[in-house]
This record gives sequence, structure tokens and C-alpha cells, in this order.
Amino acid sequence: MTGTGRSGSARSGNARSGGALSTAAGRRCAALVLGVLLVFALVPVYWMVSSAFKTNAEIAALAPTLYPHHPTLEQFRAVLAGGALLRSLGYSAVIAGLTTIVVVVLGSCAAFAVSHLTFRGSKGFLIGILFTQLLPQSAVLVPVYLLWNSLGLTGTGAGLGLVYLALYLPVAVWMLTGFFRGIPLDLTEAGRIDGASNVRILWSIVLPIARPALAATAIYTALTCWSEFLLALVLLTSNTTTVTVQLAGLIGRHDTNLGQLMAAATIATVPPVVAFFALQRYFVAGLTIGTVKG
Amino acid sequence: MTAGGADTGPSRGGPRTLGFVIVPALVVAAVALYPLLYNIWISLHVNNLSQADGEFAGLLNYRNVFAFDDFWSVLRTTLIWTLGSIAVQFVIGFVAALALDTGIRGAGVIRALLLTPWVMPGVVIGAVWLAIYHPISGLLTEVLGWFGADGVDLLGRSSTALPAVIFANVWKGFPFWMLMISAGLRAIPSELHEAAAMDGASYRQRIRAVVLPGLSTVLALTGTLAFIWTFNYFDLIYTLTSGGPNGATSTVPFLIWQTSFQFNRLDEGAAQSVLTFALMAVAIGSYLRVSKATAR
Repeated sequence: MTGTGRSGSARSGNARSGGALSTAAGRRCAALVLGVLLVFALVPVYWMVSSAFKTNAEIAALAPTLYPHHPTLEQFRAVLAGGALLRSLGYSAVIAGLTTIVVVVLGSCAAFAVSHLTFRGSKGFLIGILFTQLLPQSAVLVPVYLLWNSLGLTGTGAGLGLVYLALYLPVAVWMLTGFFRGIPLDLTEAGRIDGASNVRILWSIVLPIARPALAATAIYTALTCWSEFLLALVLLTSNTTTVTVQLAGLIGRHDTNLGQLMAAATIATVPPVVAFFALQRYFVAGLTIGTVKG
Repeated sequence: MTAGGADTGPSRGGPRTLGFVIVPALVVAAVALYPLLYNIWISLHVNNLSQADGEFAGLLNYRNVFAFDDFWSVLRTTLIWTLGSIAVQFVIGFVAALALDTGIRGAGVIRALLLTPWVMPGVVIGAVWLAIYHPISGLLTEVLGWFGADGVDLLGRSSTALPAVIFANVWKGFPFWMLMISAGLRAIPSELHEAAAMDGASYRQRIRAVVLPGLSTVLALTGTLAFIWTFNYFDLIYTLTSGGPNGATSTVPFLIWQTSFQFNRLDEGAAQSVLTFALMAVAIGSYLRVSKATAR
């Protein structure tokens, strides 16, 4: 925190140049601040990964070691034994993948309609979408559980996927609408004059341009599904669960095996973090476009 | 809903438009309306895995919530958790965004790295901080030991548990603020900065006179979203403390889950949900007022 205070009182404030603090002194200050923040952001991640490679004895030692002195895969082996964690990884991947596909397809259609086909009620539709964003998820829990129970959908991946679809589709429509609005109406009008149907215009004019937006929306939806915990905890049974529920199951009140927990946590982190770094350029732009303009 | 608009637009719209929005529209209606109405219904009836399930209960469940569930103290904890998390997330996110905005080399890579905590699943973050706070082998426990505080069980003491959970949540949530504020900063015209610099404004004055006003829309929106998300964030509480010790970290979503699925009082859980809905409506209402006021 001392680093942040210093940046505020930096003498570089008298700079004449355009952007805030874009002087040499300002950049030095910024480098210091960002260095501190990088340590803050990454040390816990490092701690998780390094602990996963330590032996039980090393983890239980009174003085924690900075790095694994006897690197071992024993924690990974132990936590993967029995196959429950692997199964839950597959389960999460399938649910997140299928939900994402449906969300992106339906979301594109709706965003296209809102941005390029004026229809009565489109404004109300968008406001309704924002409204769902503002509803507390925990408050959905009881009614969904009771309804799903009576429909026989509890304990099934399809049941969970349906809830995810309902919860994350509005976000996708919101994000995609922000992008689609940037596509000139002239382009879609030109397609219409050529006699193309709406489906065709969406497919061969809008979607190719919007590929970055689709990527951003897809990755956001997939990450959210992968990370979701509360609904999976409530709606699934213990023998078929998602990776987050499986991971939480490793936490005992007094007898948590930290090494195994860190190994499982590392495994559960790899897919979303890799996907994020692969697509982060789209992701950052896609997430903020609708919000800053809207 | 849509067909009527067909004649007004130039060859757009028409009944076919309906096909594009019907599913999302139904989903939106279902997500927004159904739980609200069904929740109210459940909360007015008995539903606790007993013989009496389905009988009309009037306001009994609500009375129980206030009489037995410590609802007020849970609500107080939730507000501390929410506002505490948001305030610190904002400060760190703001400083990070300003630092990234200086044109420093490698800003893109640094930003991506700083986003890592936000991309990680909440349960993973709970597990990580459980290890960091561990009273025997935790990293932070060791660091505190250097300053003479040996074997502190931060999560196990009522006085420190809530700040410790908030700190973990700050770690997870500050990148979102950074991201939104970064986008907001880019939308501020550079002429404003130049004009302020020409007038001899100091950095601090420019922050106050140019940057913060320029960010007001983004800050109002981010603040509202963060408020609702944080208020309802369950994963960290569940994994780090399970609401303990002695309910010191029990927040509203945790209480709803506990009441409904640990104590099987689905009716009282529904009553708590309805009360939460009402609170959120107030939050949304005040956002709309703030955003209208700033737009003017």
C-alpha cells in the first residue's frame, strides 16, 4: 500500500504531456506499483503450484519452504487415484462446452435481432436482460431446486446445463449486442437488397466480422460455467459432480490434506487459465465494450 | 410483440424476427420472473420435509427468519464483507489501471498476468488462501511469525476471520475493477488531459478534475455489478470458513444455502431469498438514480 500512496504524490504530476502520468518519472513510479501488484497477484498462485509439488513432510514442516526441496508428483498421484477427480474434470468440460455452444448460438441470434432488426420491444428486451444480471443467484436457488426436483432434473448434467444457460445467456446477449452495434447497418441492408434471408445475413455477413466477439463471449461463458460452484453443489449428487464440487470435497474441517488439495486446485486451474491466456486479447476487449458504451 | 413493428421499419422486423429472440426472451422472463414469484409462494407456505408441507403459513417463515436466524447480524456481516471488498478492490484496481495507462512497456502482458486471480475458480481461490492462512504451515502465518505473532489462526478467530476472507476476495476481485477502469480511462479524451496540464494542474488535481468525473459512468456500473456479485458470492465463504467461527463470516447467500439445504428449511430459505430480492431492488434503484443524475 505504501507504493500506491507514493504514486499519487509523485512530482511527475506537473507533466505537460497528454495521457495521465506518461512521463519518464511517472513510468518509473508505475513500474514500482505494478511490480508490487504483480507480486500480490502471483505469489498465491505460485504458492499453490509449488505446494502441489512438495512432500507431505515438507508441507507439514513448521517452517514453510519457499520452493519444493524434494519435488514430487506424489500429491498429484494421490489426488488422481480412484478417478473421481478426472471424471469430474470431464463432466465439467462437457457441461461448460455444451452450454457455451448453445449460449453463443442463441446469443448471436438475439443480439443480431436487437442490433440489426428493429422490432417493437427491443429496448424492453435489453432492459430485461440487464435486470436479470442484477438478480442475486442465491435467491434463485430454492425455486430452481424445487422445480428441478419435481421435473426429475436434479442430479443430471442436462439439468445443471439448463440453469447455466438461463443464467449466462443474458450476459452473452449483452456482450454480443455491444459488438454487433458496431457493425454498420449498411452492410446488412446490402445483403437484404441482394435478397438474402436474415439467417443468411447473420451467418455470412455478421458472424465473420464478429469473430472476436464470439470468442470473447464463448470464453467468458465457458470460464463462468467451469468456475460455478453453488448450483452444482445443490443440484448434483455426489457421484457425478463438477470439478469445483469435487475440489471443495477435499476440504475437511480439521483434516485437510493440503498437498493433495493444492494438487487438485492446480489441476482445476490449468484449463481456465490456459484458455484465458490463449484468448485474452479478445476477452479483454469483449468484456468491456458493452459496458463502457452502454 | 414484434409483428406489429414490421410495417414501421424499412423491410426489417416482421414475424421472422420473433424466431431470433423468442428463446432468449423466454429465458429472460423465466430467469427474472419465475424465481421471484415462486419464491414468494414458497415463503408463504410450509416446506421443510415435514407432514405439513404445502400448508399455507402466512408470514410465519418471515417471523422465524427475524426471530431465529440472526438475519440482521448476517446482513450486517454481508454489508461489511461487500462494501469492504469493493472499496479495497476499487482502490487497487484504480491504481493498477492508472499505472497501466502510463504507456509503460509490457502493459498488455502485465495486465493479463494481473487478471490471473480473477480467472481462477472461486473454490480454487478458497483452497489457495486456506493454505496461505493455515495456522501451522501457511505462508502468511510464517510471515506474521517474523513479526512476533506466532501460529496465528486468522480464519479461526472471530475477530480476524472476516477481514481474512475479505482480503482473499480483494485478491480475486481487484482485476475486474482494473479492467473496467482501464477501459474507462481510454474513453477520456486526451484533450481534457492536455487542457488540464496546460492550466498547470498537478497530477492529483487532474485525477480529481478530469479522471474521476470521466469515469463516473463506468464506476457507477462497475460498483453496482460488484455490489451484487460480492453480496451474493458464496464460494469463498463456504470453502474458507463455512460461515464460522460462530457465524462471524456467515453472509446472506451462505445463510440461504445453510437454511435450505443443511437444515432443510426451504420455506425459510425462500423467505430469506425474497428479502434479498427486495434489498437488491433497492440497490438497482439507487444505481438507476445515480446513473441518471450523472447523465444529466
